[in-house]
Amino acid sequence: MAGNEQVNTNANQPPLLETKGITKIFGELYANNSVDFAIQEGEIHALLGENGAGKSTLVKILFGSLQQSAGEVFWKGQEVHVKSPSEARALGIGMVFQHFSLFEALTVAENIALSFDAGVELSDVSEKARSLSAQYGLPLDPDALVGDLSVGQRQRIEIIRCLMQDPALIILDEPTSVLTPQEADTLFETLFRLREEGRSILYISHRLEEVQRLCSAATIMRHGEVVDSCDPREETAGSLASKMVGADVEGIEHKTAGKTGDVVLALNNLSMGTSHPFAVALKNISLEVRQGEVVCIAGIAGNGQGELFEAISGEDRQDDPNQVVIRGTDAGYMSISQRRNLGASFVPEERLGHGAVPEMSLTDNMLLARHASDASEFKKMGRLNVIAQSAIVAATKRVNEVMDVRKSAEDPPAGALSGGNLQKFIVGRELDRNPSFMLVNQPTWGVDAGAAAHIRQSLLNLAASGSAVLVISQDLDEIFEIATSIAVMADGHMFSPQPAADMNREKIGLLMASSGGNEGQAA
Amino acid sequence: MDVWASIILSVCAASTPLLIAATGELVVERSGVLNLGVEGMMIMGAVAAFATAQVTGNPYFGAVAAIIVGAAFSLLFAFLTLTLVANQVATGLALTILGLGLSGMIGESFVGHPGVRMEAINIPLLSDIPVIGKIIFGQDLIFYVSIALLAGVAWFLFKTRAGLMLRSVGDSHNSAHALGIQVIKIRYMAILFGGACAGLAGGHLSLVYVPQWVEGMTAGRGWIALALVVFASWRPGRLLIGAYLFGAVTIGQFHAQAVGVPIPAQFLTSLPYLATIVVLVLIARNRRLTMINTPAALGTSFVPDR
Amino acid sequence: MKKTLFALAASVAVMLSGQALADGHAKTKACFIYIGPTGDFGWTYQHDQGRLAVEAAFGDKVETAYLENVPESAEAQRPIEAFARNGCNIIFTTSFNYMDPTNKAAKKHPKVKFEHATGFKRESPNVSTYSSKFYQGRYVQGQIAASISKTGVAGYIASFPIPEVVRGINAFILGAQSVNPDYKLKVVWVSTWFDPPKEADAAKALIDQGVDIITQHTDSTAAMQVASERGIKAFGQASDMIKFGPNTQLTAIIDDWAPYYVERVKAVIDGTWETQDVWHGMDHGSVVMAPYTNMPDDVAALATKTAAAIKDGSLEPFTGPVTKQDGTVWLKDGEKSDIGTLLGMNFYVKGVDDKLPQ
Repeated sequence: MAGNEQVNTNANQPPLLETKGITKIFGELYANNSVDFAIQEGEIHALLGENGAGKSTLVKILFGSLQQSAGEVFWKGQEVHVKSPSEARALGIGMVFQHFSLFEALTVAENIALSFDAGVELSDVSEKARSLSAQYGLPLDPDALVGDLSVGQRQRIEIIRCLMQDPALIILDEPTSVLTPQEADTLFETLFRLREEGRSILYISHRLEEVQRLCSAATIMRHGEVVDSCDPREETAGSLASKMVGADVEGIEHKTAGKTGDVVLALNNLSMGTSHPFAVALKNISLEVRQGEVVCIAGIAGNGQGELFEAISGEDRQDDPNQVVIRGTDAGYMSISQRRNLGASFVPEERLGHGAVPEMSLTDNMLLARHASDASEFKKMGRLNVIAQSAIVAATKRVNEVMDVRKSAEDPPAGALSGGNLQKFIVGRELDRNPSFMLVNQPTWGVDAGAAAHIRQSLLNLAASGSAVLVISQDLDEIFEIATSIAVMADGHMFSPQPAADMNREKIGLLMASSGGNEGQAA
Repeated sequence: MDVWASIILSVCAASTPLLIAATGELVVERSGVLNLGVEGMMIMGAVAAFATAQVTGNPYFGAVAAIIVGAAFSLLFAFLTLTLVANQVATGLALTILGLGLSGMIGESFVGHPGVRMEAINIPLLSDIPVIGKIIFGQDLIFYVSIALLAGVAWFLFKTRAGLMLRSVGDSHNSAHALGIQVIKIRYMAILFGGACAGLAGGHLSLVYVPQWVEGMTAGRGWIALALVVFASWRPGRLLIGAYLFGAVTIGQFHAQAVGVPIPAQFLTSLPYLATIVVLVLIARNRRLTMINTPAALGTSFVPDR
Repeated sequence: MKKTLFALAASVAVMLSGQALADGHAKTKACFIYIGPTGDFGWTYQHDQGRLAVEAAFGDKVETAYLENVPESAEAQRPIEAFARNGCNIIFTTSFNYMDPTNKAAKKHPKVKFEHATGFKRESPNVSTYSSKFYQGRYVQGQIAASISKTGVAGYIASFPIPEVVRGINAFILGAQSVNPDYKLKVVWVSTWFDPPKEADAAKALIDQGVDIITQHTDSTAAMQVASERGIKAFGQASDMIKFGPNTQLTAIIDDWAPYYVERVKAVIDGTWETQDVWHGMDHGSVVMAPYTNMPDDVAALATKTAAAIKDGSLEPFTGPVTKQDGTVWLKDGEKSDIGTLLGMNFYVKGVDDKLPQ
């Protein structure tokens, strides 16, 4: 890893890219408000900010996917109007998207060819992709079908696709969110190499540790505005975080549960076949979660975590009732509601569509989730099952207060809430039942720092009060923050939990990548 | 041996309208749009072809009119589903119902008149070759167009950049949009092409198959074309096989009856749909086949970022 | 859906004209319910010709109205009753499955006369049923076919295996056998009354299988066009299809409802209408042969003679000896079939090269 010396020292040279007063208005919302910033040549520049701070809007404007409402963009000192991504590419701006803009049904070469303008032969593309991937240590088969590739390999396509254009500026949007620590290291080496070639990189992230390691300059955004710029190497993680959030982030308070109690959830050699073509089979998973414990399951997305969630929650039932035991009861044949009635609670990964119905109001979502498990509270008149609207409204209000859910209306549709607030509502809806066991998949995925802290704290509190908590997460920072013990999933296998104190990033990373060999350790 | 040539010619006639309509729909679906209005566009093409041929006396003008009317009718679907982002399934069904009614109204004064037939092109000498002569060199122009169209579509989809772009839009319109591909424009063009094909298929019915106009004369052939696209798992080569298989079964059942092998007509009517279900089950069991062939964005509306 | 809309729109129109009637015109109003469009050039077209004949016969004394594309289901009830409520004095319902709706409406509107075509239920004294002996024409066609056929096989495009259709097939082969005892008939069932491309396919298949005469019991002109294209001969169905095959059509059975409709409307005007069940044939002029064309004079002369014999009652097509397809004797020499067997006919006679679908 080369040092982070600033390459550009020539003060007379205009910045590679500069924006002045960029403003973008969606309806009444200022997604960007008078954004001024500049990237020098040969610089890795961080764009920091919480979700919804306006980072994505800004880069979409730079890349021509969106048009600004006001303001100018200067490229090498000249004002430019970037009307489309292809114009951006023609200028020398390349972009690696956070959610890959790849086509699963097409080959690697076809995917790359699509980003070129007409007149490029597919065979030439294949050849060039092959040589570039060798040159930058990013092995890729141009004839492979994208749908067959892992997430890390797909990111390589994005990067190669970008490099094919020989860009002067590369924009990377949250590139490491889907990678193992080892894969991330490989990526960083590629980025340093690119910088040495004199290219500039705009690096969007909220992972402060990475930013400090990579970047020599940082622009920090909050609520659509640039609030600060700094050299991240001279900052601490804490100071960067407070610049991002605007206030000191509330620390997590560990209430020591002290003793762990009875086993609340037990998985006994849980195996599940694949129910659809894209599923991962679960292989012989055994696990115990006790009262007072927070067990976290780490792993890269798509290694069976979703399937494990569905198996435990009862979305997929088991062949043997003994494979899932909740509070001493064999629950393998039970439905979701029956499992919930045993005192279990489940918070799925997707907030919209799985955890909540976007078009329905919060009270309706409350009823949907708890009509069976809280029948006595939410229904009245015996077998007529008339909805007890006032009880539901009261429960919703209670949850909103406890979890500090901020909303624009009294009872808005779930889809109108921001990600963080909706997640707080959904977690709170389950916590409100005082569950003896709670399973949460990705509790703070795409949630701003404030809400994330709130949610993590409430999970810790639940464990401290004597419940068992099982968390599935890809965010290692989060796992180290809340876990009492850590398990790792890879390719449908589970490495049994170890005390959090005995684990570190390297160990977890090796376990993540260890099995199946579907993601070779390209270094 | 002339009998066999004649049977094969009958099969070609039965298969051609299905093949043309299905080829158009295949392109539409490859771009990620599901247009269930094939039957409606087809019957509009049929009435336009008949009326134009009747008035001008020239069946080729009729065919051109069918193409134009089919495309114009599909433009309505494109505007509703792409520009106004209406639900594709509901709009497609509405298009079929509208087409059946409107064509009946337009065609009322043409009922009961023998039409102008598009005669076979008989290439001298070559079409006199026994058996194959008539089949290869002695059919109507629309038959040759149907084969050329299919070959052209196969080449376009898999050998040209524009075809690649169209497939990419059908796979993920969001990704395509992020790359700067004009999703809406491509889909407009695909829908127009599909409409033109459905129109021509209808024209074949009223110019070649049975040169007359009667209300509802497509009799469900648009739906069979839709089923064939799925049967072919969105691949042009299999479309050819599917259309001709169906044509052969249609003609074959009458021959079977005539020589005394009774096959229930209801079974044969349902055969294309049964075959489609079987194919769907088969490809759904194989993740790669599903991924490669099925347009992932099929039937979903695209709303670009503001 | 569309048909329902048609029916609704039309019933509104009827109501309006009904009000006009209430102004005190002393006209007799005759109304017609049709299964298809009046332009189908077949079944419904011929019924509409009958309606026009009524108008021509009585001029100012009558008024007529009709509804087309009325589905053969419970949906038919509403338009029939709308007619009854809105001043129609006599209502003709012209398809078999209007039977129950017609009888229901008749009970509710005892002053209105109802005439149901091809049915058999007369549940109240204001309902009559009527039909025509189309099979008489089929017999003549069979004679013509056997006289001019070179291959010795005719093809028959059939819709559904109901007695009406089976009767036609049997009459055709009996007529043919009266000329050539070895004459054969191939039958193809298409399971539809009206699907021009399918009818064309069936015709093509029959021709490829060696028939040189096509006859049909389906309603479109598609088969006539195919026969014309392939240069063989064919018979028209329900109406004169000579336009679709000027060098092809031998003759056609024309359903002529005009005499019956005129007679029944007159009975209403005169106040002499009574319930009845009629099955008229050539004798009443309700089954008419189109001109004999595209055949030698001697064959035309034979056909003319046979038709005349049927008309004056000296010849009945179903007269023994007749053997069933399975070889058992149906009618002994000189024996005539009873009406019940004819109305419920569910077997082939000898010479039909097909197995009757059950």
